[in-house]
Amino acid sequence: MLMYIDMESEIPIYVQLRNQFIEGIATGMLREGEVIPSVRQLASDIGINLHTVNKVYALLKQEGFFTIHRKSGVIVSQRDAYKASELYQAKLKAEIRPLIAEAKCRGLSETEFLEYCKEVYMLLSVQEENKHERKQENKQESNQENQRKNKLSQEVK
Amino acid sequence: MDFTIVIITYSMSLLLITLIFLIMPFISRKNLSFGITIPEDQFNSEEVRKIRKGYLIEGSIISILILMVMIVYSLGSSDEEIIYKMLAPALFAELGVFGIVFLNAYRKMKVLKENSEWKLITRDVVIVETSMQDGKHMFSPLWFVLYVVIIALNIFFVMYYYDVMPDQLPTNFGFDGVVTHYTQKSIGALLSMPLTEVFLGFIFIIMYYMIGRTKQQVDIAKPKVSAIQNKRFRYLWSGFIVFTGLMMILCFALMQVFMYGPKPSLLIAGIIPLVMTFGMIGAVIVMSVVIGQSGSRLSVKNNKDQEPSVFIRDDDRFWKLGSFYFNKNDPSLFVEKRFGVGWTINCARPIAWLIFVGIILLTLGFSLATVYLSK
Repeated sequence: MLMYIDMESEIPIYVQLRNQFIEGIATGMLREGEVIPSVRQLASDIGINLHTVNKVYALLKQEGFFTIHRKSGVIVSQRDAYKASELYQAKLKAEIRPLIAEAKCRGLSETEFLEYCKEVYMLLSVQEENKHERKQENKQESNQENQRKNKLSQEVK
Repeated sequence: MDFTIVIITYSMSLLLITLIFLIMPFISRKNLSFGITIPEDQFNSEEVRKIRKGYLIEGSIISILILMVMIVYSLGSSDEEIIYKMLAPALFAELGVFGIVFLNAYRKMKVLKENSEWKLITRDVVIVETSMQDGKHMFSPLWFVLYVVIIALNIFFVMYYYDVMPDQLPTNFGFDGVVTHYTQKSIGALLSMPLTEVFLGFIFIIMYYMIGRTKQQVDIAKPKVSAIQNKRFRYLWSGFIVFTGLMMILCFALMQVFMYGPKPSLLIAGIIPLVMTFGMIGAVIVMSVVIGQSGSRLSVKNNKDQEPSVFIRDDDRFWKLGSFYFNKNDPSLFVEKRFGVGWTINCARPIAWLIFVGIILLTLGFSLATVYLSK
């Protein structure tokens, strides 16, 4: 999975990383049990301090998304490790509140707001389908190539 | 006869080194020109090509001059041995010359960039691929076991044939078969070769390990393709390191077999290092041209970036003189060179300096040790 880090953004780097990791898990780009690069490796690859990456990993571990594996290091947890707890649901409601309040102020109806939510949900699941589609495309391409090769070898004979 | 062969091989060495320097602008990433970040579509623009042409012409002319000086001076000198002392100074002169020629081109590029509008499309974005360490990431290190096997065989050979060997061992000889220097036979003198092999083995293992610790550098204009190229680049060169180390150790061991073994042949013993040296340099050139720096010349099938963007990440500020990387905030020890193929150290990291100086000291230490042993 490719991760994009904007070094000049107002959004702190650790937030960017956390959000992209979670989005990766949401869209299926990061699968259950997939190995995540080590703290040192990721920090070196991006070119940022180890503490920043450490912070993200600690956060994601605490939230249940990452697990430390004996052999592989850091891996993506199994799905039930990060199922919505009551604590999370309360947190979500609290975090959504200012968003809805501002939308209401600015004249957006409940229906419109829900529409936006729907769009984002679709966006996040479409990527998982795309990954599946791409795999099918690659299979098709290699099948076509094999067919072409077979045809050629038959012609030679 | 011997003199002619030496002149030819030295000249070929110099010319090959010159060739490596001359192809460097073409095998580096296309968004870099002489250590300066440029938009990829500017690589073949008139102004950039002019600077590149200047580099090529200046480099070629001065290299040929150095070559001619070396030949003429050796021919004209009354000292018959002078030619043997000319290669090292000539090589250093080459490096110095290309350093200056490069800096000249670098300065011109810097001015060109300042007067252009390229700055408008830079973005300070870094892209990383999380699966870079999966799968075929580095060439299998199990091959290093062969190093141990060959060195052990070499030592076994020395022990087994010790009594059969002549009391005076030929250690320096020309292609005419005339021996110019003998050494008194001793275990120490004979073990200097396996010791050298051990040292080489260490160096290659250290280099292999260092390659494994380099950071990935994905081109933000084409992230999917360059991530794959970058991975293959690291894998292929780690394999080259393993293979080259093996060849060098094997060559040194074979040299000793043909110098002091039951069926000695000084001629073969003399040809082996030649074949190895030119083979190695040739292989480096071929690999560099085929792979390109960062894998930029590798073709990638079945994976295309949806819309290659025009953005480039400009970190010129970390590259002093376009050659030395200095970035305190980057925890990486080794980063890709901007000009040429391979990696260089992050000068802001003391550990990188330690490794760099350490290898030089290790080399000196072993050289002195082998000289001492041969006494």
